[in-house]
Amino acid sequence: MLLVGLAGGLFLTKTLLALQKPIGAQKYGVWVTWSADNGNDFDPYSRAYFARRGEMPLTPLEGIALFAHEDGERRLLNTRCTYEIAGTFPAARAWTLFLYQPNGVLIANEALRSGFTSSEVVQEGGGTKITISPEPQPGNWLPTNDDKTFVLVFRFYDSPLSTVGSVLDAERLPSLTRIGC
Amino acid sequence: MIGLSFRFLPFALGTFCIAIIAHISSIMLMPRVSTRNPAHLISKTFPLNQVEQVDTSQVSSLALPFADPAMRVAICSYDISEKPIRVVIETGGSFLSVIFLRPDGRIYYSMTDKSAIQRKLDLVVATSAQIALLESQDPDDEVVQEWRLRAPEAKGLVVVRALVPKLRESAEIQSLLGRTQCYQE
Repeated sequence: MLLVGLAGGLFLTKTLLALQKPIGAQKYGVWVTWSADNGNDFDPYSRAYFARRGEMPLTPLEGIALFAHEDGERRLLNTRCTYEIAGTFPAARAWTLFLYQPNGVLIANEALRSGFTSSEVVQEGGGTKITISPEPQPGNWLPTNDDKTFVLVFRFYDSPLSTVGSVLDAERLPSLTRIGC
Repeated sequence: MIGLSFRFLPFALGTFCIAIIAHISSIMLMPRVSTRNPAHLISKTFPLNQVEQVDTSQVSSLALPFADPAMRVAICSYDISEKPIRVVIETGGSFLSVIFLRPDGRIYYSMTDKSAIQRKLDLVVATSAQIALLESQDPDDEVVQEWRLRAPEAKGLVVVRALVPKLRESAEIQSLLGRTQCYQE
């Protein structure tokens, strides 16, 4: 009984911490994020998740990080496909966008360009549009290659979105659309 | 059949309770026992009470998964069991944050460059007794120009993160972080 219970409990922990949207995280459209109750630290599930993953997360005072593993139709993001990020970019002092392998290592490419900061992007017609594609694209292009799944991470620094009590919804976040494969 | 089910009920309930206890314990203990916890890695690697810049790139031995490559990081691993530490951080126009962690990686305080006075964050991390001693020595007619933080444990980490606005122009931020000080008083 003891062994079965222990094994069951540990298996449950492993399973819950491996979810793309772990307990403690919130999902808005394609974006998964974390918030904190007291403005400084996270709930025990999120702390366990970050400790197991080896990640040093952003505190809510610093800003908010949004993770996308799949597009709007729940297909895993893949480097052989073309995606467009557009729409509403939340207010923030600065933001960054990077592409990672599922284990957290940056996606490498020949152009040594794995992401953008808000100071680097070119505004088009009053808005921001970023294209992720293995084929050259006009404007803000993040080149990819191979045939691998990836994770997109947006970080908004010093943003009202991360303050305690702010209301988040998918409408206030950028859209992520698969254009083709 | 029903009699057989009742015979297994105590076993099933007992197993369920043990599983729940094991699950909750493992979740609570994970930050302390995980070998990947960055706070453990940093504490083991870095000397005490001095600032080290961290290469968070993917080739570094301290490669932190999902680290933001646009952030430059400096860390002070401290032990204030004998004396408090003073951390002095210069800020520029770019976003900068400071987080204070317990040895298991739990965050107990954080602040950004918005709290800087004349582009400088002057911080003292101390125990309750050390803060009481500092306060007793404060002059009555002067406003204290430093942040005093009560650390929950004698050991911990101060992590400074500064944003590089343009990825290929990081020298200025790197030099700004290089002027960060962390020393025992």
